[in-house]
Amino acid sequence: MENGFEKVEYGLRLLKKDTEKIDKEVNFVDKFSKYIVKEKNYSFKMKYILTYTFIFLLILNLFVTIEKLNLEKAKKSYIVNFTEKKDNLPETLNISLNKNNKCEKKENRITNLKSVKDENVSPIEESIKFTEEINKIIDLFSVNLNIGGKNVEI
Amino acid sequence: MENLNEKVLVELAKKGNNDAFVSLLKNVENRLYKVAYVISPDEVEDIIQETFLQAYLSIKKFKGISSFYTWIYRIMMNIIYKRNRKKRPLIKNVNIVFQNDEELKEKVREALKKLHPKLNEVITLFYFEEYSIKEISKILNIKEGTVKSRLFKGKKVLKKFLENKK
Repeated sequence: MENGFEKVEYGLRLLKKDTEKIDKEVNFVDKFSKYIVKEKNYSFKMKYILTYTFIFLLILNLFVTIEKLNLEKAKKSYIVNFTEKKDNLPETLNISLNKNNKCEKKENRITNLKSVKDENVSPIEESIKFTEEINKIIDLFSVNLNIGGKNVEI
Repeated sequence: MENLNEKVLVELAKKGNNDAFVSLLKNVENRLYKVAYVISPDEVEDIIQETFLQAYLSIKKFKGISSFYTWIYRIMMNIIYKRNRKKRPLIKNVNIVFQNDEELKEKVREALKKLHPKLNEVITLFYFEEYSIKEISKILNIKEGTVKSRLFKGKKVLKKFLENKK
């Protein structure tokens, strides 16, 4: 068997003889058919789950869109209300301005009163100052004499 | 269901009829097992199961040009080839003398595992299934000359494998 091809053919024939020896009945198909049934059930379950998930998501999506629409409606109504209020805003401003004017008038009155008071207070202060000066002059001329153990002020 | 014509069974299986598919498998199971056992006796069960599963998943792609056996046989050859493609620990030693037939068988088996499916299917159909070249050309829907050249190329590759591996 020096020729390589002969070796190969001989080896293949030996293997062929082996196949002839195999006479046992094999049964892989039953095992596989069980697997197919399982797989079918599984795929059915998967389809079932997927369908329900899809329906749930659809409903959820609908709910979300409805909520969005409601929100937009509410937003619009708020905007309308706001604009209406905005239109009414000048009147309120006038009122507040009047109020402010009143306040200013009050303040003016108070300041006037204060000034009047100030005017009234100033002569008194002047008289106080005058008396103080007189006292100082008197102090200048006053002499303390100690007569018979008694201090006499002249 | 088992008495129905193969073409009818294939059509039913394509439409999702599992019973039809199972009866198709029953017709080819033993032949597939023998070939798989010769090439890869350790993994025969895995190979058969994988082949069935692959066939089940791609039955809709089956055009019906060849017979169901040829189609599933090719699937099996591809699976064997893919499983053994990565295992290539070849040590160069040209002058080999095989101690006994068992050793030679083992080497040929190992070489068959790594042989390209197109070459492998011709070799196994010719040597194990004992089909003639004319029959193989009909089964595989290729020219007789192509069968001959593939047979020669297959043996050449096997020879190379045997020479390179101790």
